[in-house]
Amino acid sequence: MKKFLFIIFLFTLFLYSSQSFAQGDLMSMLEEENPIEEGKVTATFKSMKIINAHTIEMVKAKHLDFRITHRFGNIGGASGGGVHTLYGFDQSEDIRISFDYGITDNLQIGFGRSKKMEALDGSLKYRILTQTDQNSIPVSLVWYTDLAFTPQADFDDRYTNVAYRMSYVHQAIIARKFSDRFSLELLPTISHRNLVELDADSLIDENTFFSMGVAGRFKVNQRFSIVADYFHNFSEYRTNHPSIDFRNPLGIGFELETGGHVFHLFLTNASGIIENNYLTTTQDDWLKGGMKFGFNISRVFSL
Amino acid sequence: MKKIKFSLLLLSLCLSGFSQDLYKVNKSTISFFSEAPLENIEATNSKAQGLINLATKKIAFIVPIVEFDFEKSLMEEHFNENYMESAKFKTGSFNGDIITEESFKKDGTYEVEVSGKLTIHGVTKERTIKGVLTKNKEALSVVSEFDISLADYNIKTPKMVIKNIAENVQVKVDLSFELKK
Repeated sequence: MKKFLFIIFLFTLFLYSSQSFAQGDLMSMLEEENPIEEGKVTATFKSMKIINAHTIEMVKAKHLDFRITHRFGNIGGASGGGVHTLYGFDQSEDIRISFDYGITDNLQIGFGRSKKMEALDGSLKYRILTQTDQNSIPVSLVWYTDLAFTPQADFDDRYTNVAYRMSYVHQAIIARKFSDRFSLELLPTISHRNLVELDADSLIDENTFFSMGVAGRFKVNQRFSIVADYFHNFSEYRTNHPSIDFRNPLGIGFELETGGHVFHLFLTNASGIIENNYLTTTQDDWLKGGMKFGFNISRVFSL
Repeated sequence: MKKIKFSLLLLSLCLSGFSQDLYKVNKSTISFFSEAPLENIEATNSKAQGLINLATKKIAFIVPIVEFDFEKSLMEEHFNENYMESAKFKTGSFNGDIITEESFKKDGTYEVEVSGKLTIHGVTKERTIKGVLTKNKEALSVVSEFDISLADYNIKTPKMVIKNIAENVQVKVDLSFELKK
């Protein structure tokens, strides 16, 4: 009998100790029950535009991004700038005021008005993939479509059909945040204009052509980054034109972050702000002073 | 023989008593608030997990940092990217003991003090924190308020925005627990 009680005593002790062992380290128990999930990579870029190129970043759901984008005139004297225009500050190549609204975190609509061509444009941006931190999804992928309408007065009967006033851009944006400091994206792009005309050399422009864009951001510190973007047009008309010197748009600048704002200050030879303008018409040459100072200022409101 | 049966009964009671001392979080609200001249900074997190063992008086919590919700999305991004570096330091945690002399056998409201390791932004500090624990049958609730010094946890605020961010952040914890089965 005593032996039996002793065994029960031992048994109790054993159960007691195993129980308290299991409950002893609550933290490992918690960590086991709540494994850290694979997270989405955030802040690949700081703003929905770098310089000329869109990024994979979007306005968050129920937020409105109000944005003023400005391009001054050419800096160099050989390209119409020089001291008598205060290196382009007296001129404005293009000005755009825009509003972009996040319907969900993955769907954004936008509306803007540019000085160039008086273009009114409506855009749609949709997130398809988001890069994850364990690399099960190695890149982020966003679709961007912009439709522009020019309400310009019709002086020379070119807009005989209202459809002639319209142009389109479709773009896939593929981005990867390689490290805390460095992000890069590729932007295969198709531009289409309903109206193209015969030029002085009796050549006709292409309605549709393909461009490949590349854009990057290098973060120097928590507030300051260097940004750049470039589009290469695959357009025979542009490459081989005998008298018009078409150029590919290149932008280089920096990005400043403060609490509520993101500023971009940069130089670019691009001749417009929306893709429908700068991909198709850029003719200024960096080497001839054909770069313009520009800035993007955005303020995001939560509605 | 009766004695044996009795001791077995005691034993099982004792064991079941043990498993009934472990509680897990079923609802959590962790928020912080920082008053600043330009704009107040506040965020709420409802994804905290935690365990309390009233027998051993041990407690443990984990808070996933990216789950803090801000009203302004840019603020949330800055919080994660610049201040908390939450891609690197994914969770905040507390691992410690209830140091108040109390057995918590009866239902009621108890002033409690916990002491242990508070880890935020990859930095671990010993902290003693006061709170109120309420026991009501199979449910527990814990509320607490305490301050965190950003400097203690190596959370850097650039001089440019120092006016925007207070050096101490007030944290509020409101947790409900149920018996863990």
